[in-house]
Amino acid sequence: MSASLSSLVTPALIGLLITAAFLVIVNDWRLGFVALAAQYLLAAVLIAQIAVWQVVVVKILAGLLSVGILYLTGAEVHFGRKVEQPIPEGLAPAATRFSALFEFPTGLPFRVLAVLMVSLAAWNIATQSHFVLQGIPSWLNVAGYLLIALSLLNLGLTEEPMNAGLGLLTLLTGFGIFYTAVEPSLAVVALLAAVDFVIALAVGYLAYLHYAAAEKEASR
Amino acid sequence: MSAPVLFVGLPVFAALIIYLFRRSPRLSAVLAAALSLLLAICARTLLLDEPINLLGGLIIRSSSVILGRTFAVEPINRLGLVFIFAQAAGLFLSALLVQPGRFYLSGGMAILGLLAAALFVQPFLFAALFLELAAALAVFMLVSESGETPQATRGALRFLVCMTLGLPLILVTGWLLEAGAASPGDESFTLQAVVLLNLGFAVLLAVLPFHSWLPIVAEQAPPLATAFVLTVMQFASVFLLLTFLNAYEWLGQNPAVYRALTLVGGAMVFAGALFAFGQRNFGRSLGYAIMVDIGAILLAVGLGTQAGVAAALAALVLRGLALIFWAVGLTHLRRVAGGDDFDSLRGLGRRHPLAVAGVILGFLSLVGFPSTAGFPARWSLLILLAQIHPTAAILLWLGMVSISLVCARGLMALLTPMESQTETVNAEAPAFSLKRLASLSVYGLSLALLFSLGFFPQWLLQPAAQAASTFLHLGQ
Repeated sequence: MSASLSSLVTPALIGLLITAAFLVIVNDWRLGFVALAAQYLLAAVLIAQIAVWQVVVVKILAGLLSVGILYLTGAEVHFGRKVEQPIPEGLAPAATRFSALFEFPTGLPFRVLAVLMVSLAAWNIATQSHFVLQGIPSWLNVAGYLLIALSLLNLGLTEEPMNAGLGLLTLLTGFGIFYTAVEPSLAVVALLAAVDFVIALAVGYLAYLHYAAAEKEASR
Repeated sequence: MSAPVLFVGLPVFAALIIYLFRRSPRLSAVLAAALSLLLAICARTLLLDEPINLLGGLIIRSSSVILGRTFAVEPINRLGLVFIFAQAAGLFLSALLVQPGRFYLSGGMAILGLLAAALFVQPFLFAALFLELAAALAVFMLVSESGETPQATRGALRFLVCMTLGLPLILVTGWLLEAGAASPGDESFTLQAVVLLNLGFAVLLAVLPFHSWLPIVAEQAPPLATAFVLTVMQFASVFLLLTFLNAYEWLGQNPAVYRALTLVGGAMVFAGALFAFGQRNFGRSLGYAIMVDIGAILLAVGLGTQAGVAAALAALVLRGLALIFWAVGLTHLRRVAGGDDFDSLRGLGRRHPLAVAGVILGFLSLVGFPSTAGFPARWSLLILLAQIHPTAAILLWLGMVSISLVCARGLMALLTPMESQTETVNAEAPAFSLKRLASLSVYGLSLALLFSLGFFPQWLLQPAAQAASTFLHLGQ
C-alpha cells in the first residue's frame, strides 16, 4: 500500500459517512445519484488498500454503471418530481428557490437525529471485539458497519423505489468493503458487480413504473 | 461440453430468444415449457463423464471451471434440478391459458439458469449470489406493467429488499465457517456463523418477521409470477438449507438446530393461521397460506429425519401444482372482476366455474385437504409430527383449518350472486368456440392430475424420498 493511498483512509471514511448520511436525509434523486457515485469512489479508495488494482477498477466501473442506469431512469421520470411543479423565477428568495430545486423529506430533524444515533451505534459496534470480523483492519470494519447501518435506516424510512434502491446499493457497498477483504477472488468480485448492476436495473424498472402509475393516478 | 454449461447457459440463452418471440405468446410459452421439460429429463437421465452412444460417443463433463470457480453437477442436486425444471415447465405451460406479463417467460427462463448455477457452484455458499441475481430478475416479473396505483410496486420492492438482506448474511457465514475450521480452538467464529446463518435463511425463506413481502406480492403481483417465485425460487432456497445442513456435520447433527427449526416452523404456522383468519381477499390469503406452508416445511425439516425431509420436498413440489391452479384461476377472475377481494368476486362462481374451481382447489391442495394432491404429503407430515412433536401437529392442523375456513368463505362469496346478477347469468353464457374447448380440456386434464396425485401419491412421494436419501449427513 503506498503512503499516499494510506493517508486517504480517514478522509475516505469520513466521506463515506457523509454520503451515506446524505442519502438518508435528502430525498432528491439527483443529489442521491451524486452521493452514491461519490460513495463508490470513496469505497474504492478503501478497497485499494487491501485488494489488487483490477478489483478496484471493477468495483468503480460497476458502481458508476449502476449510477448511470439509475440516472437514465431518473431522467425519464423527471427525477421523481411532479411535472407541473414550477421552478420559481429570479424574483423568489434564495431559500425558496433552493427548496424548489431540490427535494427534502418531511421530518428532516428526525432523520438527522436518527442518522446521528445510528452512526454512533454502528461506530460503537464496529469497535467491540465481539462484533468485529476478525482479521480485517479496524477501519474496514467501521466503514462496513457504518454503511450497512445507515442503509438499513434508509430502507426503514422509505417505500419509494428509487430511494430504497439507493439504500440497497449502499448496503451492498458496505458489504463489499467487508467481503473484498476476506474474499478478493475476481469471480466473486465480478458476481457482486453483476448483483449491483441487476439491482440497479430492477430498481430503475420499479421506479419507472411507480412514477408512471403516479402520473396516471394524478391525471384521473 | 459440460453439464453446468447445458443447465445454466442454455436457459439463459433461451431467455433471450424467448424475449424476442414475446409477441407470439403461445409459441414462447410452448418453447419455454418444452425446454424446461427437456432439461428436467436431462437432469434425471443424462450420463455424465461417460461416452453417450446416442450422441456419437460425446462425453458430457459433470463440472467446469469459470473464473476460478468450479461448477459441478453432483448426485445430491440432480433431483433438485429435476423438480425445479419440471415445476417451471408446468408454470410456463400455464401461460397458454392466461396472459402472465411481458417478462414472465424470458425472466423465468433466465432465473432457471441462475438457480441451476446456485445448485452447482462450489463452494456452495456462493449460491447466495446467484439467488440474489435471480431475485433481482424476478422483480421484473412481479410487477404488473398496467399497475393502476404507485403501490403496485411495493411487493416487488419488499421482496428485493428482503432477498438482498439475506445475501451478506449467507456469504459472511461461509467465510466464518472457513475461518472456524482454520482455527479449531476459537469457538467465536462458529457462534457468529450460526447466528448469521439462522438470520440469513430466515430472510431467504420469508420467516417471521421477514415475511412481509409474501401477502403483498400475492395480492399485487401477477398470479403466475407469484406462483413462480413461491415454488421454483423457494425450492432452491430450501434445497440450499438442506445442502448446508448436510455439508457441515456439526451443524446437520446438532439437535439445537432442529429444535430451532421446529420452533420457527411452529411460529410461522401460528402466525400464518392467525393473519389468514380474517382475510377477505384471495391474494393476501394465499400469502398467509404460504406462511403456514413454509412453517410446515420447517417443521418437517426440524424432525431431523429422512422421512421429514422427504415430506418437506414433497410438500414443496405439490405447492407448485396447487399454485398453478390458483394462479390460472385467479388471473382469469381478476381480469373479469378487476380485483381479488371476496366482495368484488361475488357471484362469479356461476359464470366462471372453471376459474373458480381452479382457485378453490389450488387453495385446498395447498392446505392439504383430503383427496387433493397436497393431502398425502401433509398427512404423512402430520403423522410424523404426532409421534415426535404432538403440539406442532395440532398447531399445523389448526393452521390448515384456518386456511380452509378462509377458502370456504371465499367460495361462499363466489357462489352467492349479487341481486343484479341473477337474471343475467343465462344471457351471458359464452358461445361454443375452439378456444373454449381447448381451455376446458386443459382445465379438465389438470383437475384430473390434481385428484390423481391425491389418490396415487406414490408417483411423487417416491422421487421425494429418493431425493431426501441423498442428504446422508442430515439428522440428529
